[in-house]
Amino acid sequence: MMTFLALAASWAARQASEPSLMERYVQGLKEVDASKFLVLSAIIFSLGMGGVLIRRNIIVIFMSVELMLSAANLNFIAFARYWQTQGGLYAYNGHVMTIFVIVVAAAEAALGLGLLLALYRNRETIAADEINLLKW
Amino acid sequence: MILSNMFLAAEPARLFIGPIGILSLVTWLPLVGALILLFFDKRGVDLIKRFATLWMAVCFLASLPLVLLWNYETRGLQYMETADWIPAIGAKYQMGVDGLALTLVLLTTFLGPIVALCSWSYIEKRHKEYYALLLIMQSFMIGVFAAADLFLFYVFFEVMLVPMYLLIGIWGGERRLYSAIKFFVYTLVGSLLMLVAVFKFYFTAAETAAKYPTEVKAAVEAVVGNNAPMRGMVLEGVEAARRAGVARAAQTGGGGYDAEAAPLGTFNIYALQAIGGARDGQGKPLVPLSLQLWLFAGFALALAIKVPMVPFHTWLPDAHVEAPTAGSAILAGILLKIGTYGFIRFNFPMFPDAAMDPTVASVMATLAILGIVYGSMVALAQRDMKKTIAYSSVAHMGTTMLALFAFNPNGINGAALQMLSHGVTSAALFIMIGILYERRHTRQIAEYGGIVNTMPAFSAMFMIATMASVGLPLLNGFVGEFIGLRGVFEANIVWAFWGTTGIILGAAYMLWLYERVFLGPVKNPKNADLPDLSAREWAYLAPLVAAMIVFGVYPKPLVTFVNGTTEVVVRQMRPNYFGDQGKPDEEKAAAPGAPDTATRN
Amino acid sequence: MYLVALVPFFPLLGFIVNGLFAKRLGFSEKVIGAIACAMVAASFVCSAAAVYEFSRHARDNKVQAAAKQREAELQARILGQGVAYDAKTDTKREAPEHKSDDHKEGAHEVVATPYVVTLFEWMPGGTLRLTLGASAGQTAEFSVKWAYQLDQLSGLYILFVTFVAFFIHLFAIGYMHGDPSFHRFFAYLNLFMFMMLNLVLGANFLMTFVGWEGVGLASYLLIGYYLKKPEAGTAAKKAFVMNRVGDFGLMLAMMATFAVFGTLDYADVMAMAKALPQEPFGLAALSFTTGTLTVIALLIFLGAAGKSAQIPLYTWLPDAMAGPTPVSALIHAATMVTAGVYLVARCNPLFQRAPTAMLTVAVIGIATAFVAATIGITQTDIKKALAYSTVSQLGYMFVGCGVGAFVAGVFHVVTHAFFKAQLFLGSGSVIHGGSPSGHQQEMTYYGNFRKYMPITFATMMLSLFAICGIIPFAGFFSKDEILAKTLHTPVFSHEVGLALYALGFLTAGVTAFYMTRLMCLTFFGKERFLEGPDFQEGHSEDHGDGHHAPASKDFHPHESPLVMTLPLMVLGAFAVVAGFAGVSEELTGGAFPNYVHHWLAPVMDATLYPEKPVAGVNWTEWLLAGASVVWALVMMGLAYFLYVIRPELPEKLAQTLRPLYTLSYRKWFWDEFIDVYLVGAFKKLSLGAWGVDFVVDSIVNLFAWLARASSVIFRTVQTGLMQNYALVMALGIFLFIAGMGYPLFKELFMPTDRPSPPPTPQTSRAAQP
Repeated sequence: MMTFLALAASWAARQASEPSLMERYVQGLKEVDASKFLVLSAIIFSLGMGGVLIRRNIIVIFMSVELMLSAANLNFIAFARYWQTQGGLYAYNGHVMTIFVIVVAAAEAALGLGLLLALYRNRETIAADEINLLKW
Repeated sequence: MILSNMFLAAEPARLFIGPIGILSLVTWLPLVGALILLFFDKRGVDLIKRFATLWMAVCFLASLPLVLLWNYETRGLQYMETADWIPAIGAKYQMGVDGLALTLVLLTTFLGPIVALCSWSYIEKRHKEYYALLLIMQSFMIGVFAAADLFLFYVFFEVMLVPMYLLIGIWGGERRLYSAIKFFVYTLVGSLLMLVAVFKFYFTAAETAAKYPTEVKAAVEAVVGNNAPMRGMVLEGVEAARRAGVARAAQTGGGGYDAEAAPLGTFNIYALQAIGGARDGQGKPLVPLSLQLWLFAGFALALAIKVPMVPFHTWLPDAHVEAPTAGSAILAGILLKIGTYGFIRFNFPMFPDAAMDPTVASVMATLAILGIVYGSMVALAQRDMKKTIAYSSVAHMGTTMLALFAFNPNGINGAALQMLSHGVTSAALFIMIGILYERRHTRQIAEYGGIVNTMPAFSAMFMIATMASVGLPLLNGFVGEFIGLRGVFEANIVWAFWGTTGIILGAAYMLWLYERVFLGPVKNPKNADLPDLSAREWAYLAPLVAAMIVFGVYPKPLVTFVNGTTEVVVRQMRPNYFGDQGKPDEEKAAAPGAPDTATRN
Repeated sequence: MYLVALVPFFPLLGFIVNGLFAKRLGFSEKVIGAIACAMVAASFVCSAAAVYEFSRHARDNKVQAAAKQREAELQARILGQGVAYDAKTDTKREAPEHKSDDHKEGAHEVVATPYVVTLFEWMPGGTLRLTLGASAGQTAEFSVKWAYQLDQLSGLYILFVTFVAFFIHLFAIGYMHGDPSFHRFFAYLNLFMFMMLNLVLGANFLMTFVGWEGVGLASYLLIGYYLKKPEAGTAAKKAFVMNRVGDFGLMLAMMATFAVFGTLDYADVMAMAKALPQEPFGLAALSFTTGTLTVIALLIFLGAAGKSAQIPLYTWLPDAMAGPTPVSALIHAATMVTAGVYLVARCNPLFQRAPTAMLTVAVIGIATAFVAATIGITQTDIKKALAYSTVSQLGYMFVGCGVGAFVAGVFHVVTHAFFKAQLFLGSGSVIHGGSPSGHQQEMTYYGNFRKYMPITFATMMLSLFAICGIIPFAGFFSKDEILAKTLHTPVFSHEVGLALYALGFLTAGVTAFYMTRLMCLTFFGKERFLEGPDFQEGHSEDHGDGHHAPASKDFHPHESPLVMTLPLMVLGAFAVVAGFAGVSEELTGGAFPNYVHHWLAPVMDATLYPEKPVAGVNWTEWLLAGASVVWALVMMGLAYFLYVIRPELPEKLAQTLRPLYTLSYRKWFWDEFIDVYLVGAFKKLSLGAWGVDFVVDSIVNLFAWLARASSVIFRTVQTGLMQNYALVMALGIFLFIAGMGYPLFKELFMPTDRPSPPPTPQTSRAAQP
C-alpha cells in the first residue's frame, strides 16, 4: 500500500519537474490546475476502495477507509483552491468541509476501534470474511 | 335535549368550534393518556391499570357532549374542524361526524373502559405497553369514524393495524404470531389496493369537477342539504378539485403548471361524494360506469376484508381466537364495523352506479348470503367457544352487508343498527368467554358443561347476550336484523328468504353452545367450584347487558341518528326514492332493489 | 281505555321483583308465590275491568261510525280509489267487483272497534316502498309502535289466559314446594305471562312477535328449568330452534305484509285486507305476484305451526314435557301453544282471501290431529300422552280455522285451556303424590290411584268427559261445532268437507280411547306403584333431590294439599260449564244464544262467507252430535274393557298388530327422521363446509409460499460478508455514474438540431378564473 503511495507521489512530482525546485514548486502552486489534484485524489480513493474490498483484516479495512476520506479531503481542498483562483465567493467551504471530515474521521476511528475491540472480544477474530451474521 | 337547545340559542355558530375542537379532543384524548402512561413506572401495575381504565372512562365522558350538543335539525356533518395538513397534495386535517359516525364513535368510547377493565386480570405481562397500546388504538379507531378527509381516514385506517397487530402478537395465545401476521397482511393487501383507488379517484374527481362545474355544484346540494357550515367545507373541497383539474388540463394541453396557484385537489370525503354522485342532465353519471366499477372494486376489496365477507374471512377466526379478550372485543366490536361503515361512507355515495349495477349488487349479496349460511354452519361445527362466536360474527356481518345492498332506507338503517348491536353483543360474548378462560384456561367447549350450577349470575348474563345475538325481540339484535331484512325484502325476496334463514341457524349454534357449556350436570370436576362474577366483572358486564336491553326496548335514538345519514346516502343513489308518491321508480329497471324484480320468488 | 296497558305490566313487575330481589332479600316460598299469584290476579282483574269497559264502548254507534269511516279510507287507499265512506247518509263505499249485491255489508255490519293504546314508538326504520299488491310503488313509513290493542279476540284471550294462569300459579306453589330455586321458577312464569299478554294484546304483528319470541324464551327457560337434567337442556333447545323455523316464516310474512300494506298494525292491515278480492285456488296462487295474500297466509301459518306444534314441527312439544308439570299445563297446553290459533284467527281476513292457505291449514290440522292421536295410544309416560293429546287438539283448532269456522277454533282454544290445564295439573298431582321421589311419570308404575287421590280422580274424570266430547261437557260444544262446520264448510267443496269430517270423527274416537286408557292405567286396575324404580336398589336417576337409596315399601300414594287440589276443582268445574258460552245455535234454534259467537263476530270478516241466519233447530246437527257422542262412548268403553277388565289383552293386541304398534310407539318415525336425516346431516354438512376455510387459506398460503420460494433464490445474494455488499455498492455507484454521465455527456458535447424550447410563459395565474 505504502509502495503505491510513494510511486504515485513520485509520478506527480515528475509531472511537475522543469525549472528550479523552489521555482517549480512555487510555479506549480500557482499554475498547476486542479485536475492534477483530482487525479491524485482519484488514485488515492481507488486505492482505499480496493483496500476496503479485498483486505480481510478489519483494521486494514479501517485504514483504507481513512485513505478514502483523505482522498475526499484532497478533493475538497483542490476545489477550494480552484475556486479561489477563479475568484469564487465561497472559497473557504472546502476547507471547512475538510476539517469536518477530519473531525468525523477521528470520531469514527475512536468509535470504530471500540467496536472492533468489542467484536474481537466476542468473536475472537477481526477477519471480515468470518463475520457474516447478516447472511439471510 | 333542552340543554342542547339552550346551547344552540346561545351560540348559533357552534358547529364550527375552531380548527381544533371537541371532536379532536375526543379523538386524541386517549393518545394523550398513552403518552402520560409512558412516564409511569412499569412495576406499578395496579396504578397503570387504574389509570388506563379511568382515562378510558374519562374519554367516554368526554364523548358524551357530542350527543348533548347535537343539533337534531341538521343533517350531515357536525363538530367540523378543518386545518391544513399536507398542502402539497391538498390533504387536510378535516374532522366531522354525522349521525352514523357519531353512534360509532360513541360505541368506540363506550367499549373503551370496558375492554380496559376486562384486561386487568387477563393480561399477565408488559402491562404498561399493553394499556398504552389500547389507548393508542382507541384514538385511531375514533379517528377513522371522525375523519372527514379521505387521506386522513386512510392514515387512521392503516395505522390502526399496528397496535392491533401488537396486541395479538404479544399478548395473544399460542399461535399468536401466525394470526397476527395473517391479520396484518390480509388487511394490508386490501387497503393498498384501496390506496390506489383513492388516488385514482382523487385525480378523476379533479378532472370531473373541472369539466362539469355546475352539475357538481348541484350534486353538492344533495349531499349537504340544509347544513350551511358543511356546505362551506364541501364547496371548498369541490373548488380545490376544480382548480386542480383546470390546472392539470392546462398543463397537459401544453401550458405550464403553477403549483402555487392550484392546490392539487381535494380529499374531502363529502366533496368526493358529491363529485362521484353527480349526474348530467340525462341522469348519466359524470364519472363513467366502467371507471366507477374499478374504483368500487378497489374500495370494496379492502372493506370486504375488514367486514369480513366470505371468502376473505379466514383471518378473522384466527385473529379472534389468538387475540387477548380485549383484542377480540375490539376486533368484533369496532374493527369489523369499519368495513361496513366504509361501504356506507365511500362505496355507496361515491360510486352509486357501480354499487347499484345489477351484477355487482348480486355478487355482493350472494357473498353476503354465503357469509350468513356458511358462517352459521361453520359456527355450528366448532369446538372452540371463541371460534363459534367468531364465525357468528361472519354470519352477522353477512346480514349487515346483505341489508346494505338493498339500497333502501330500511336496509341501510337496519345495517347500521345491526353494526351497533353486533358491536355490543359480540364484544360482550367475547368478554364473557374471557371470563371463563381466566378461570379455566381453556376455551374448548368439551371442557365445560353445567356451568350454570356453579356460576348462575354469569350464566344469566351469557343467556341475555346469547339471546341478543340470536335476535330476540326486546334485545338489541332484533331491531337491526328485522329492519334490515325488511329492506332486503323490498329489494329482492329471494335474498330476504336466505337472509332470514340466519335466524334459525343463529338460534341453533348459539343455543347449542349454551347447552353444551352451561346446561346439564357438572361433568368436569374442575368446573365444580368456579367462583361467580366478581365485582369488577359485574362492573364491565352490567353496562353491556344494560345497553343490550335499553337499545332493544328503545332503539329510537339510534335510528334518529342513523336515519339522517341513510337518507343522504339513499338520495345520492336513488334520487327519486322519497319523492313522487305512487309513481314508479325511475331507476326501477336498473336497480336490483326494484319492486318488479321482486317477483322472483 | 288505558287499563289494558296495565294488564301485561303486573307480571313484568312480578318477574323483576322475583327475579332480581327474591334471592337477595331472602323471600320465603310463601312470599314469592304470593307475589307471583298476586301479579297474575291483578292482571286478571285489570283484564276483566278493561274488557267490561270495552264491551260498552264497542256498542257505541259513534265509535262504530268512526271505525267504518277509517276502514273505508284505508280500503280506498289500498285499492287506489279515492272513494270515502259517508257517515251521514250511511251509503256504502264503492264495492269492489267481487262483492255481489245479495250480501251487502256496510250499514248493518258490525266492525271491530279496538282500543289501541300506544305507549311509545318502538322501532322506527325510515321510509319504505310498497313492492307488492295493488299499491306497489307508494312510499310509507316504517314505524312500529309499542301499542296494545284490546278488541273482542284479545279480550277473550286475556281473560282466560290470566284466569287459567292464576290457578296454575297457585298449583305451582304446592307442586314446586321445596325446590331450591323456587324464585327462579316463579320469575320465569311471570315472564311468560308478560310475554303471553304482549302476544295477545299486541296491536301489530311485531308486538305479537315480541310476545311470540318472548314466550319462546320463557318456554326455553322453563323446559330447561331442571338444570341438572341433561335432556331438559336438549329439549329446551329443540323447542326454541323448531319454533325459530316457524318464526322464520312469520318474519317473512311480516316483511311481505309491509310490502303490501305498508304497516303492521292489525286494525289497518285487516281493514285493508277486507277490500281485497279472493285469490285463486291451487298451486298457481303460490307466488307473490298471483297470490300475495296466499303466500303471506302460508308464511303466517308456518309460524303458527311452529308455535302450535303442527306437522311437521310438532316434535318439540312432547319433548318439552321435561319441564315442570305446571309449565306443561300453562305453556304447553293452555296458553302458549294456542298462540298459533290466535294468530290465524287474528288474520282471518287474510286467510279467507287465500283458499289455498285455508286448505293447507285444514289438512295440516286434521293430519296432525290424527297422527298425534294415534301416537297417544301407545305412550306410557303420562305427560307425553297428554302432550300428544294437546297436539291432536290443536290440530282440531286449526281444522276449525281452516274450514272458515274461526270462532269455533277459538272457542275450542278456550274450552281446551280449561280441561287440558286441568288434566295436566291432575297429572302433576299424580306425579307429585304417586311415587316417593315425586318424579315418576311412567303409567306402568301407577294403577288404582282413585283409592288414594279421590279429588284428583274425580276432577280429572270431568276433564276426561270434556275432552272426549260427552254432552254437556265443555269439549262437546267446541269440538262438535268444529266438526259440524267442517261438514258444511263454505270454503271448499262438499267432498273435501266430508273427507275432513270423516277423519275428524275418527280422530275423536281415537281421542276418547287413549284418554280413557290414560285414566284407566292411572286410576284403575292393579296397583303397580311398588314396582317403580324408586324401590329398586341403586337406581341411577338423580333428580337433584338426593333419592338414591331404595324407598321404603310401606309407601302409599297420597292426595295433594289444598293449594294443588283447589285449582283442579276450579278448572274441573270450568271444564264442565265453559261449553255453555258457545252452544251452537243450530242445536238450540237460537233459543240459547251463542255468546262466544256474537262476541267475536266483529273481528271475524264476513264479507266473503256471510253468516246464514239460523232457522230453527237443525235436527241433522243433533244427529251428528249424537253420533259423535255415541262413538266416543263406545271407544271409552272399549278402552275400559281393554285396560281394566281384560288388562292382558293390550299386550297381545300389540303383538298381533306389531307394525301398527311400532309405528305409533315410535311416533311415525318423524323424530328419528329429523334427528338423523335433517339435524345429523346438517351437522355433518357443517363440519364439511368448514373445509372451505381450508381451501381459502390454502390459496392465500400459496401466494405466501410463492414469495418464500422465490426468496430462496434471491436470498443467496445476501452473503453476510460486508465486503461483498461494499463491492456491489461500488459497482452500483459506478454504473449509476456511468449511466448518468452518458446523457450528460451527450447533452453537453453532442449538439443536436433540436430547437431550444420556447421560454415558459408565466401565464398560469392568468389562466385562473
